[in-house]
Amino acid sequence: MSIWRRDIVSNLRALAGVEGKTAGEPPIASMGTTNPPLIEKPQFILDHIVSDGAQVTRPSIDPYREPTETEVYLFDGEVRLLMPLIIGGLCGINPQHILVVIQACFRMGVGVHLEQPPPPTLHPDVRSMILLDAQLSMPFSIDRGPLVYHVESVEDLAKIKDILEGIGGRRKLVARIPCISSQQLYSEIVGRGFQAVIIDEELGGDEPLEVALSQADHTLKRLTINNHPARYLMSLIAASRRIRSSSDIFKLGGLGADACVISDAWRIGVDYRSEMEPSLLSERIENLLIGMQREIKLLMGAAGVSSFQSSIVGSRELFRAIDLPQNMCMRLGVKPAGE
Amino acid sequence: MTRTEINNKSSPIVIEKYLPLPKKETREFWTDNRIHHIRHLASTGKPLMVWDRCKSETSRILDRVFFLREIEDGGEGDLVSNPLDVVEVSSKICYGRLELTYPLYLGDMSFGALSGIPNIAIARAADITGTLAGIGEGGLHPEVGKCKRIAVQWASARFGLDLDVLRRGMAVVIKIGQGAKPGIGGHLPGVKVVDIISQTRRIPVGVDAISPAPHHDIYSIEDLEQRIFALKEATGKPVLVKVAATNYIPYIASGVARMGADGIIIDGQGAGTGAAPSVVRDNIGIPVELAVASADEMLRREGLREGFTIIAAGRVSSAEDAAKLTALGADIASIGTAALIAMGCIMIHKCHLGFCPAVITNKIAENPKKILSLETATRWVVNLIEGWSAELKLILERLGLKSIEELKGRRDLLVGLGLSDSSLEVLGIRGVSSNS
Repeated sequence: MSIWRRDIVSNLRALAGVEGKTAGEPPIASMGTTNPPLIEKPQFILDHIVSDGAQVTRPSIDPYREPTETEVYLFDGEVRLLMPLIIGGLCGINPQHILVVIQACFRMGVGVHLEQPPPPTLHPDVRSMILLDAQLSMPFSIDRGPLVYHVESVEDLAKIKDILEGIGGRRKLVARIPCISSQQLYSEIVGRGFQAVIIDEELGGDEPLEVALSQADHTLKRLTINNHPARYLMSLIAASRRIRSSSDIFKLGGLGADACVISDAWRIGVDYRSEMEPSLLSERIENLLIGMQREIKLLMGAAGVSSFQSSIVGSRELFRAIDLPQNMCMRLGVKPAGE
Repeated sequence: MTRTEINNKSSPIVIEKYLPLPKKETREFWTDNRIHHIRHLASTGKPLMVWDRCKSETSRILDRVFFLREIEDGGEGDLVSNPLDVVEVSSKICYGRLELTYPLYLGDMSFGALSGIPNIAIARAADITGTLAGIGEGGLHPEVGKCKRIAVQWASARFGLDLDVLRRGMAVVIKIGQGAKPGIGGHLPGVKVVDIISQTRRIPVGVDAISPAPHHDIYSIEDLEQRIFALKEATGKPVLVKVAATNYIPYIASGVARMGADGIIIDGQGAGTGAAPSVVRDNIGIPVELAVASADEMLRREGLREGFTIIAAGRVSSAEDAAKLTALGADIASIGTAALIAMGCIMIHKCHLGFCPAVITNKIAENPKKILSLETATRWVVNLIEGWSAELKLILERLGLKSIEELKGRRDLLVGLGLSDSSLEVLGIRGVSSNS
């Protein structure tokens, strides 16, 4: 079974304005849900996790009428995203579209993950929102934005040690790692002055993304930098091609992600084609992003939460797992439903 | 006379038959067999089966909970006979203040979400069968207001409510949440807000009626107590609090009981709705079976269970579902979707658009082409309740019980098949492996 169930695709396309007449608005449905894990078949741990609806003991918040903040700060406050989202998966698209995507994301306050450097003419403010894959041979002076290093082990870190010492504290450094739960690796990453970690399922690893993320959040809260919990100085980002929707982003937030990198989801949502008009691409990306932000606000409001970063990120207690074994619940740090 | 005028004057087609079921393109809880079972009950008023055969088609947690008796019978206990009259299914709820002939609540579907005739049919069926019908959030339909066995809903938007309306009926329901959209308010799409709805709800025509997410005068447990007290003082009726089954349900149930309500309606994941943002419907809320078991356990532990009523709602599809929920700790079950199916719903999930082919949730037109027969719809719902209760009696008989009262809280009669250890613990039942 494809991970892109028809209802998931159609929801994204309705947000983007590819289908229907209410672009940017959370789609409305009726009668009972058929969602996994109980009706549709669950494919990922995320399918077992539900968020909270606040009632009686505390009020919910009405996102149509009351303020809710989806913005998140990364790199110890130096980069502000208006929603916990970074657009990735740009390597396969028409090179002429890359700038269009970058600009649309900048307008919406969303980050971009690039593998190749962007055009040098780009405004520095736009550059600051771009997470760029670092090549070891690359001169550091070309860019102000965060640099992403691919790190799989403590040995990898040793290899880039000299480079890191050369640039000192002037750059925002990101370690992009597979789904592993190695305390030693986190300890080294923290010690070497990185300010963010991307846990990327595309790099493999021996844990599901959900578990690796939750453990990373937990580990970073225990480690310290100059007697401060490392988690407060270190941003945590989740990346996977299978992040399908705003609800996936919301739940990954609950497990500890400050932001998520989505790739297939946005391409499917805007019905990306290499020959499409730049203005249409741009419009659909903006619709999709504002729609996803509104969906996140609905989930936040329902949970009675007014700030994503202060009350959703790492709030495993707010979530419950349906039909997962006890040991998996323990590893996730999420209680079983009904408890 | 112009053609349009002739068309306008022609009387509408009256729907008295069920539509054929469309082919399903996605997985669905309400499978064709579940719908056929309900249609059988609604057409005949007679039982079709003892143990629910449809539960093997879906993988709800409740579908994997069995009465041990069914497994021991090995399929032989499924012969339908006339139930013994000595089995008693009438039930007293709300500290004995309300008596129901059959242990069913007909769940809270508003005038607006439904198009009038179904609302009247449900309320009349409740009067005929001695059950109780919740009227939902959309104010009181004048014909529904003539029925006795209704529960008036006091929801966050307070549509069309005044002291007179509140005093009608047998109980008041404070609606805090619903299973299909926990944490957000009711939603009636503007396309369905026509003149009559506008008058009943006292809102403008054609505008989305989106109720506030919280009650803006209930921000805490203390606030809830004040409202419960005020509504009791104003009406002299029992007050129920309706909530969605959510993550903190045991604490919520305990709070509701402690604050003086007569009962709680717990509406689980998968419950129906006329309109809800899909992101909310699909990602918030827990199954009612877990919520009921956990709320019942907490209320017992705190000494709050006696006399207090738990009504279980959300994907209640058969008498066996109701029986299992009762054994897990509910007093009575609530049906909503099942009642719609009895009236001809074919489950195409289009209620929010206002073009219901079964004319149950359609937009109310001035000169409708099709209308639902009120007489037939009422008979269908009455039959459903009677056939359902006959199946419930057969189940009680197989279990060797003389009344529904004896089934309450009897978790020892249940086993779980292929359930996770965490689910078994919350349900408080033992697990058996699927090959035993």
